[in-house]
Amino acid sequence: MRVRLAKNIFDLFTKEGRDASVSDLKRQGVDKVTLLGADQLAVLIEKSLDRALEHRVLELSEPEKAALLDRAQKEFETLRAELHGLEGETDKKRRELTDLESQLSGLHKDFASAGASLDAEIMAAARMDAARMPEPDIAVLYSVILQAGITNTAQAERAARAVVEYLRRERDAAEARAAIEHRARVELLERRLAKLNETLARTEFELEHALQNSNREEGMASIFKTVQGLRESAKDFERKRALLSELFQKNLVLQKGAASR
Amino acid sequence: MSEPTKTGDAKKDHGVLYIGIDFGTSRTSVSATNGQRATVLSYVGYPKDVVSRKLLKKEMLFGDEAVENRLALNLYRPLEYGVIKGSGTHESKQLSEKEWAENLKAAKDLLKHAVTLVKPRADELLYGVIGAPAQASVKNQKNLIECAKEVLDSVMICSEPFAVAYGIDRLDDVLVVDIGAGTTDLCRMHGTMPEEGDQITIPVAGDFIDIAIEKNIREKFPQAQLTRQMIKALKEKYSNVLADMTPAIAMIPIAGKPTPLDITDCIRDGCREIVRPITDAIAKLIASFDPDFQDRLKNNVLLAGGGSLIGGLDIAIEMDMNERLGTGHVMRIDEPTYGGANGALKIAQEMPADFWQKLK
Repeated sequence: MRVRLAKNIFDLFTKEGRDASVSDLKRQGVDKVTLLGADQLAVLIEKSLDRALEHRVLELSEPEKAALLDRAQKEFETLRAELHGLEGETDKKRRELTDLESQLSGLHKDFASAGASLDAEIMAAARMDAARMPEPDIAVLYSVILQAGITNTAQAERAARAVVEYLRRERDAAEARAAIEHRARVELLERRLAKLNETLARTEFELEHALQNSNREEGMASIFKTVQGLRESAKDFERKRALLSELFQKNLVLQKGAASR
Repeated sequence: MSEPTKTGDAKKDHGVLYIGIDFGTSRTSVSATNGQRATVLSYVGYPKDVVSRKLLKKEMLFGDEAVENRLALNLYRPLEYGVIKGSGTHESKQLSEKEWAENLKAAKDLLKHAVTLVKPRADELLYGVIGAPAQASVKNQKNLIECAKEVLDSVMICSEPFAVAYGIDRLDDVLVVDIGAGTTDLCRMHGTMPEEGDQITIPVAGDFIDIAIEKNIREKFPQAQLTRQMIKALKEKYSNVLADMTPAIAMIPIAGKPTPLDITDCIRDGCREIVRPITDAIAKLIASFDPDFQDRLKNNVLLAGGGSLIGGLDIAIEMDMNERLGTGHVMRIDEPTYGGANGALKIAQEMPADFWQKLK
């Protein structure tokens, strides 16, 4: 405060001061001057202000001093409470950020695990395809039936065909069942992945939002600490007061039950 | 920047920030007592899906940004004819419950965003005055208050042209013509609070001109490919009503190829379409005024609002008034875009403390 005051006084001198050359001064009849620097003047004014303030404090009565002290203490307490509140706010934001980060990390793990399960399913499907049961060989079956003592070749052939057909049907049914189960598993995993993906995107967005919030500006303070109202010195004071009063009355009526559509 | 919401934890004991808001169909302008002011196109967009949300990295977009990314957004222009769309006045179409709820949310989000633009502190009380069309119904005004109550600690609604007049200390024998996008509001001031008979709202304003210009261009160049956004941009660039206006040669696509087209007449004729309805409304307000003071009113017509920026509009209305009413003097206020917001701010600032308290 003191430094700023001295600097302001100094700036005022340098800005508002007039320059005068020696010859100008001589023309004005001045042949001798006492020099006093702007910085010295600033210091002198500041000292004089300090003295005036000290004097004012000495003039204060005890109750006035006590009231002044009380106001200063209250202001100090308010500022301290404000600071405390801001610190609490910062801690809260920090905790929220940590929570979000851990949530995000958990989601990343879930995502990786679901991706791995899907990969495993796809690999299993590929292995199943590779290990597909071979077509039954009708010639081999035919020779086995002949060896079993069925000498009628026509009957042996029919029996062989029937067995082959039965085996094919069974194999197809088993494969169809396996495919359905596999498809269901893959679909489930895909749904889970999609959900995880969406949750991940949302959490990332929230984290980004929270990070932005943590770097937020405080905003621009209003030039008014309290409600202003119409000044009595304002132009058309009476008329404006009447207009504002009427406007308020209309709003008061309007805002009773303003919640309904 | 702090979130302008009343639900925050911050204790509001730091100060009082007054805010004047012109919540307009086309633009929303805000002025505040921290020296900040801003204007934003009245558009709100929400990403259509997860992909667009991820791409845009935002839950909602406003103004120019929303218009630029409209293909990836569910885009809302929440106001119509100066009030929240679906409030059921003028030619405003009725909305379903779902549409109404979505539109109301968009209006609230837009208002919240507009307040954010003036950078309020979280620990300050926000007292705001919102300008509404001169003849907005009680229902319209209640809807506006419902939106504002979520953002401001205390709010008042006032007639937009009244705010303009109050803002420039012209409370006597003056006729304010506030030309917005959805409506043109006229209000005669005679030292007292304007009553219903002192105000006229006509649905002839910026959007009306857009439609007229589009019609003119399509008639003259049937192959021209135009959107309403392009028309708006052309109007803002070239709008004029004078016979000797600067030629308007615009690059407009024809079969995909940008082609220079002379749209001077289309623009001028489109802009001129509002002159007569405005003079009609002026004449109506003058004719119903005390004959001893009619000339004073005729010679103090003030143009405000974005629409008043049309080149030569003051001259055209003045000429029409001279022809029809014998005399007339029309002036444009200094800052038409902020006239309503500045006036609302002045009202907010001069309103006594106990009034604000009672409306909390």
